[in-house]
Amino acid sequence: MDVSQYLEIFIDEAKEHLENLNTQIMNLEQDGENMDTINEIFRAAHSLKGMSGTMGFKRMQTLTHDMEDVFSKVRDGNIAVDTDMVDILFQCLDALEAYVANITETADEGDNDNAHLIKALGEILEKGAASEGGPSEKGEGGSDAAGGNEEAVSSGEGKHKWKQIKIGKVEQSAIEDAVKEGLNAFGISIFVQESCLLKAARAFLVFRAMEELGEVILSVPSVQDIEDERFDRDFSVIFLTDQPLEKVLDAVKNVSEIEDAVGDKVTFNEAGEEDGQGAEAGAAAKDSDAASKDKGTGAAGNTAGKNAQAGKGAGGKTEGKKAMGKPVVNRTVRVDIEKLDSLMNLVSELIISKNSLVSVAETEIGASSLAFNEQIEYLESVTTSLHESVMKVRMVPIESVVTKFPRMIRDLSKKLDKKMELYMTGEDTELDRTVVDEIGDPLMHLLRNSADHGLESAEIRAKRGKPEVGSIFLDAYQDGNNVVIEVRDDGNGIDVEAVKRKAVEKGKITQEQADAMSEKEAIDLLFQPSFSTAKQVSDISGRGVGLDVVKSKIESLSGEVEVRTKLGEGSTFTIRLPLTLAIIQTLMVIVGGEKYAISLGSIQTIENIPVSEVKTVQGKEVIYLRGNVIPLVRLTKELDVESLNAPDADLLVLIVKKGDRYAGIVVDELIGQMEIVIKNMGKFIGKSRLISGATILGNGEVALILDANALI
Amino acid sequence: MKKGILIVDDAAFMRMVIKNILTKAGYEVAGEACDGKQAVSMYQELKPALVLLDITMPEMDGIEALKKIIDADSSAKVVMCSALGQSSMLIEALQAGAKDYIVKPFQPDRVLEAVEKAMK
Repeated sequence: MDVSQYLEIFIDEAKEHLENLNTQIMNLEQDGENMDTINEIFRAAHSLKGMSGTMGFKRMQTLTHDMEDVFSKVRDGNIAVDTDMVDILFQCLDALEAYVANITETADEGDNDNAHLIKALGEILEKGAASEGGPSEKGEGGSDAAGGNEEAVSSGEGKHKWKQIKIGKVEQSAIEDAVKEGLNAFGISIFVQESCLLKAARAFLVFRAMEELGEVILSVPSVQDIEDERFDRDFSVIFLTDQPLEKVLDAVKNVSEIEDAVGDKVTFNEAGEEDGQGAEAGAAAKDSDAASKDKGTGAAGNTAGKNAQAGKGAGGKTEGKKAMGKPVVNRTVRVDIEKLDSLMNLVSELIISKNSLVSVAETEIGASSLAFNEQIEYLESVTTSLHESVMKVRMVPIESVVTKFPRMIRDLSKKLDKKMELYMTGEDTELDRTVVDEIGDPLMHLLRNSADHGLESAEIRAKRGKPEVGSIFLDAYQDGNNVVIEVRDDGNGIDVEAVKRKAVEKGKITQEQADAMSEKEAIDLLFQPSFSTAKQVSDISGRGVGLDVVKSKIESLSGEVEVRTKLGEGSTFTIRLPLTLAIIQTLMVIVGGEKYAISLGSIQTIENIPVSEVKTVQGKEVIYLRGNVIPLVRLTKELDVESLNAPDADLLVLIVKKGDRYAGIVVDELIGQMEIVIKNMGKFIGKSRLISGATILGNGEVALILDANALI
Repeated sequence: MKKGILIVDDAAFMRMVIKNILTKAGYEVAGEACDGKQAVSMYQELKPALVLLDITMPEMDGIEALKKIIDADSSAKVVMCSALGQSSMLIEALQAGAKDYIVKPFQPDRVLEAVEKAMK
């Protein structure tokens, strides 16, 4: 089979399964007896095995097969889950990931056999077999019996194993009655193919095919055993029918995966003989009178048997429901992100074109054409919804990034020899795909930071009366047009004095500056390049590429990072990211005769302030508004342009908020709210702190986008 | 007149594998569904000669879908696609009227044998 065409889809689905396994095995360590988790793991391992088998990736198949064996024992309760086992399972996942990575690059799984893992899994299995004790012996006993049967086969009875069936009095009388009524009684042995899987279901199909033609009155092994798959490759039945033997055998052989079926008439040597060992064709039943006495009992036995079967069916049903309770896979269409990008660009163009229609309507047609305006408004609502839909398509839950964290914390916990636990909420919070792809590393760094620097050693925690196990929290939620991700720990918190000392040592600030520094400013030092307070550089964090990288990454995504900390109680790093990067709602303003856009998200209120209310504190202009002292930022000054307003005119102030800090931005004039498309400034214009981009207005003019955060 | 085969599996990979096995052997694939609900509605619409139905699926599992399909059309021919370890569910499906089953990972010969026999 040519499998190269499946490669892409194989890789995608294999990755999904691996991610799922990672999560589920974490769960397993928490709760080693959760059947849902175990079933899910088994299913994922099984799917992986099937997929890699189909693709011909033998090494991957072998490894998943052995993992599946282990899970299967766990599921049957023969092996208990312990930390060592989970360790090995995680190593297996790493190995599988390596296979998939190889396959992604070279379309081949590589030549690493991972023999040590196969061996380790084998040891787990052996351990399981040893503790299994009773059941395993029983299993061997079973195969011994089968061996015995084979001997019997070679000793002349051929395939007619049914001749070994011991027919009790009840059955015998039923058979004899049936024969009297003109039915045929056949003994039939059925053999399933060696490759047959789920033999119980196969046997069920055989029984169903036969019962269309007559009645099975006895089977060896018992119906119960067959349903539980406790048989080797064959089973035998005694069958009553009004059909000829050939037809019955044909019906049986017509079931898939049946290798052969043989049979003959059942006969008895003499009355009351309990087995059919001496059975010879042609000998008829002799003592039907004696047998008929038992007829009633026979019928009762039959009903009882049926009831038992019905009961079992019902049991199987509930069990099935339980295992299938949780939907496993999202219904998705895979789309190349580039296609979405181009869709987004088209939407952007549409919005620009809509904006120019609006400006045409205002200037040239005027209010006279009501219908035109109505249509424009309609167009506006359609483009807005279109934009929102495209945005939503691009949104993915951050789950895909954060699922690997519990595993990482677990590894860190071992490495650092600190006990810690990660609690996550809001994994389903959605962000733009491009943002989600980028957010993984900064989050990972913050978590490592918490694990390494934040949490104290067990002794110190005990001294401080904290629980021995440190807690790290990762909470994500949507807040207006932003998504907030918080990384919190209940560890030591940031030692502001230590940070200052370090900064002075490194010559970043002078002692005087340090003394005058507020706590907040000191913490901001942490985000400066190559600043690490860890006394030793460990390989977990504190490699010098630290929080500054986190900060620049987040800022490149138009987000911001904030820290709150309390010495001895813990720290919280708050990341705030905009939902979308490409299209934003803005307030258009005029400063010095030029148009600028300011993101509406950051604007709290717009105030008219008489010049007389502007006060000066420490040489800085401030206003006093509803109990808050708010510093003023004059855009004319920042942008170095001349205001067109009279110096004594009331000030138009936009109150903006960043974190818990406010500022009042003074502008000349307001134009109104507008949805704009952010365009990059290009490489030729140097980076300006204040300008986060530009946009094309409806009339073709270009307006700069001001970054309100940079002004605070 | 019923025509073609409906493939139902939540894994696109599996659908693709089955589809190729079938089309190479000259069968017509009438459609593909990725959960039980879709399978039931597509069955009504397409009236396929045969359904290859996965058991473990989101929305509506294969067994429930099978029951719905057979309720609506008692002559429906359905072959279950099962993974190992689903014996009890499989038997429930067979009791509910599935004609046959195939086990993942699929062997092309087995798939074709089951399809051929079920279509008879």
